[in-house]
Amino acid sequence: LWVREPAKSPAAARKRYVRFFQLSLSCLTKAIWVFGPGPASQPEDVVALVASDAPIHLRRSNGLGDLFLTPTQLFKIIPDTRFPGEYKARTLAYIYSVHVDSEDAENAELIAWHWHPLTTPDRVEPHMHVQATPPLGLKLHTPSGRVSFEQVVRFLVDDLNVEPRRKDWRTVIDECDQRFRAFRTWG
Amino acid sequence: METYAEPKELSREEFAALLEERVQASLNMSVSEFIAGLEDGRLDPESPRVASLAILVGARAR
Repeated sequence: LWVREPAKSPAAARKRYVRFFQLSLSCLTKAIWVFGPGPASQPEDVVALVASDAPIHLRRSNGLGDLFLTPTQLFKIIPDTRFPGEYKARTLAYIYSVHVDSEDAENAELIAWHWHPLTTPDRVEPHMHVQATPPLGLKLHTPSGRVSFEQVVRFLVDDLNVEPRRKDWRTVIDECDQRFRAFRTWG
Repeated sequence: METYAEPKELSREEFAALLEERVQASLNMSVSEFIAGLEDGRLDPESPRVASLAILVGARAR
């Protein structure tokens, strides 16, 4: 069970958002989210999030090779129409890329979840790129629906054998995922 | 729950410097060259090394 934490100002909503996002990231790594003003072409209230490590090094169990994660996101704070006087974060774009070699990300990407309507106005739907047998490669835009960072964390640990950094990772990621699902406005 | 590190907020100048550093390290070009490459179609906004940086600079890819 989790308790709703009302955000009565845009600053409080931003602080709450990055705090829970950091909790999710802490399931995988000691790296932190670094955030700052978004692109100059976007309104001033847009916030960009990147990881402090580029990329994040992920160790796997059972002798499997290491993986690397490059996550980025844009969001902004909007009034929460469901709770008058409160604010919430709205995601504007995300990229969560998993690859096998930090030195050669161009050819080593295994899977990536993309949603970037601002960068590619002709492709506004969430999709994923999956390493497939040539000639398909990574070029296909496989429809995915909206994917949360929490889902990616769970997939990395449960399916790709990434070693979680904290013992309570499942409790943490479940709570963060429940918060995401409760407050998302689409997807 | 275990303790965890806090996220870090950067100023506009600091974040711009971080982006410049990452674009240079990943693609060996400046952010302005990167934006120009996205806008004139020389760079694929979906390629692995480009995508995560492209959403941060806000260029509309051709």
